Amino acid sequence: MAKPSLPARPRLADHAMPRRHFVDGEEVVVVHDARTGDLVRMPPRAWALIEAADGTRDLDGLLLAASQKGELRRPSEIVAVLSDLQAAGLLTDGIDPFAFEPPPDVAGSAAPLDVLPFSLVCDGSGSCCATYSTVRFTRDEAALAAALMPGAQDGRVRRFLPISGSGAQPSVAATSIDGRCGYLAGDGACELHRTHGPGAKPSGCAIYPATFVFDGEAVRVSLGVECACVAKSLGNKGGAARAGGVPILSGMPLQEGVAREGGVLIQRGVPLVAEGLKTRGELPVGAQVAVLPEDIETRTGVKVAREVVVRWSRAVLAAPRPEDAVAMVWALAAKVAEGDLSEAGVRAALGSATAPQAEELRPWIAALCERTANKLESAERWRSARDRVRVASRLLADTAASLKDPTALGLVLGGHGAAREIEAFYVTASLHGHALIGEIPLAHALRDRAVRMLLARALPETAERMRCDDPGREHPLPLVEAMMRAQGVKAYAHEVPESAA
Amino acid sequence: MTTQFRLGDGVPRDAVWDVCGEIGFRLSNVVPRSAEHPAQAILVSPDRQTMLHLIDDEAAGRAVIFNGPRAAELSAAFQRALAGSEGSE
Repeated sequence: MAKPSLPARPRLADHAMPRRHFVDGEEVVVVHDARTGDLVRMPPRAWALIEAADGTRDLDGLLLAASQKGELRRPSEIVAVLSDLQAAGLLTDGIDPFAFEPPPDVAGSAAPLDVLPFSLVCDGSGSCCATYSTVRFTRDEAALAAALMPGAQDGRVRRFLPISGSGAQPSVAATSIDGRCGYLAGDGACELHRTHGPGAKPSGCAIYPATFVFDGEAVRVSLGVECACVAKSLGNKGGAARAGGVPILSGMPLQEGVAREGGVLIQRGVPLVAEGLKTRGELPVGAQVAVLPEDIETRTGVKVAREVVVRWSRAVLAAPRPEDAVAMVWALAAKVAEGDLSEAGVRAALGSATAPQAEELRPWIAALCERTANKLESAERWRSARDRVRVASRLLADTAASLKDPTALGLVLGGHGAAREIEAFYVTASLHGHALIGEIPLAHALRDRAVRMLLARALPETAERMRCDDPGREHPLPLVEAMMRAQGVKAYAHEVPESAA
Repeated sequence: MTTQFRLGDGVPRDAVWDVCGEIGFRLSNVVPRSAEHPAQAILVSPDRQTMLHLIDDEAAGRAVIFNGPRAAELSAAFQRALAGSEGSE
């Protein structure tokens, strides 16, 4: 048999994320490329043929494994599937022998927690559970879920695929049905939670949306502003809520912190971590603590010591702020780009902050338009019309395109559509959680956040035009954030030259 | 960065594997001999950044190649440990 140029013992690379979906009733496996945002789709039988490609088998071993499952018809079928994946840059060779090793606990169990004061009220509508392609279960949690609810969704969700790659690993991803977690019921409740209590839910879902980052001094506990409930939790909405709670609709699943007030069920907020926790060692088992690098890039090619950035973030959080969060982060970006991360620099930036000029934003909007258009094209190629990600992709693409109009851009720059409270909180949560540090230099990340807020400001008008009733219409910033991280739209910022400021 | 050296004929295979484990490397892949390349075992460091190739070539004999950002440091550690293990036998 002529063998193509394939790895000797193929497996999906770690940047390949296989996900099992049911789209309008039809099963499909989609392998996402986390590096490029591209994807390869395959029917379930093709996946069954290569499922054993975990880095321990050569081609002959894969043929035998497929034959053992009764799936092998022609060896060339396996070669064809592997060749497609190889051509897409999604294969690697051999195993990761450290896949089951827990990452080194750099923080140490005695590291103090620095918790953002915030209480989340989950409204149980399940919109976040319909936005992420990945709902992570540990292998034990997946086994428990499959055992507790073997018939969920007519048995279609019993199978889980690897979180990344195809080698052995401790976590797996749930099957999605039209973009929703397979365990999400039609009324938005988590079926595992409702039927078997919060302990049956995966630890990652229980912790969501909290984030944990060790910065050399403390573990900062913050959150991703990716769920409309974050916005709803900030204050009373519609005059019905009191004391940090929102009313629970009849039939909604009851979450933690439920109380009865004056004959009305009120859900009180739940803090990001249980009250009284002081150290990293007391965090729940599922809490994954990221570690800030010791040197942090502030602009391309310029790095400063971690403690400088930690001090800077503390100074920003403590300083009086301008009303406009877009102007605030844009002004901070300019100072950081100058290399000034001092407290005086922070005060100077915030004291004279003004919104960016439309001209400065042009390359950002152009990159955003291209990325969101690509995302929409991809979503429309394979996602169901009922899939929230497809709807949100349309919202983002149309909104980004609308910002090419100078009048529309001028309006949002002037504050039209600004939700001041959530924007201010978003900046706070991002700074407290060190969410601006990572893939791109700090100054660039600050400008990226300004652009995200402008996009969110313009989104409700697009939703109105589209007659879209997605929850993102009322709380657009969390939807923008969820799409940025979970659906890879954030990669647009990589395409913007750093001189674009 | 890449460093490489030959293994003497007298170096026991088990000793080589013992030293690989001692410096933290684990087996990642086994590549059979082909027309393009010799048989090799590929091991990876705990940070997954440095690869260690144990080459077994009919013509050229056995060799070790370290490839990655800590190649020089880990190669030195490997050779020290190997010398120590040979001395103790």
